[in-house]
Amino acid sequence: MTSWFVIFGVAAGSFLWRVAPLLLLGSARSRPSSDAAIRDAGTAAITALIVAATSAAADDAGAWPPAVLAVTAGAVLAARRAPMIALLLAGGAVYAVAAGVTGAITG
Amino acid sequence: MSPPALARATVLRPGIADRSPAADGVAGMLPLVVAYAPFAAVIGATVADRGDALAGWAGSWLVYGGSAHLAAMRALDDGGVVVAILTGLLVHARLLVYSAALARRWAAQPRWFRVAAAQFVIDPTWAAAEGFAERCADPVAQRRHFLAAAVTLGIGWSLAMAAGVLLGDRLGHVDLEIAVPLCLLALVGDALRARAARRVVLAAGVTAWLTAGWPSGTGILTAIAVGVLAGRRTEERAA
Repeated sequence: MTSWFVIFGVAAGSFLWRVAPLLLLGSARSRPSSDAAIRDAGTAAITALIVAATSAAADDAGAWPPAVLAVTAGAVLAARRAPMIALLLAGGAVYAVAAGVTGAITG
Repeated sequence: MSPPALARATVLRPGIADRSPAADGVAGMLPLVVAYAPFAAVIGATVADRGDALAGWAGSWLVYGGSAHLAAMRALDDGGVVVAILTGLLVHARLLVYSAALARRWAAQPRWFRVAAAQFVIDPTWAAAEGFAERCADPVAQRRHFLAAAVTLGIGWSLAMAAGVLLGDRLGHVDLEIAVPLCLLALVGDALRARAARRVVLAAGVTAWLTAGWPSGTGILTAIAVGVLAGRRTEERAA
């Protein structure tokens, strides 16, 4: 039952986060500085999620090098406009190889 | 670098303008569904491990956000219901930013659409909506595109999460979590090329790393604030 409370609580609060700006800011006058701040905030939010997710993956695997190397390889490909599937395949391959090497070294 | 350019480069590939808006939304979201499937499976396995699997799976549509969903379910073990809800809401606070951006795009949209579409605002749908709005100014087409993309993502997400619920511990030996940062990287591809946006990425990334031990969600919010400040500083210098 507690799981349902949590799900409904997060769902209701999240809906408020989502709907309030859509209803309240639609008619607000747009300013270049605020538009730029919103744009940068979106980029920063996703970047922070990437770091958090990399940290979680590293903790899950018990070693940092495979996760960091995989994400670095993914970042290089992303900067070259590679499609998401290519990022997954290449990053996953780097991760698998690095995890194998790390496992062999640490025994 | 703008979000539309960001989205266009990696989420919405060129050459699909001849499709209907709805088909365009579905086609643009399918690669993301494939890429996000491992993440959803991980969350499914996690919620199955924490008791009420049905409640956890229902969150795929009700919460419609993997990171907040996962953080809330994990926090439930340590802090109880209130802490779990607050944790999920902190992680989802970034949705204010996405909705604020879309509010400008959707100023001409009817109220019913803004209310209905709000539930589906999340990182990939925001990027897809920004990208499509850059290419097509027609509000009706934008509505069809967004709803098709959002429902496609939702169906794929909930199916993958259901698979994770059913497989449970059998996924434990597979390191699927690495798929999450790799998926998200595709959304900031252009930011890694533009100098001004790269500073935002660097500032936010370093801050997120330094605040990794903070309570769930607070580090992300701090990283957003530092990223915005870095972007503003860069623009001031350029001016």
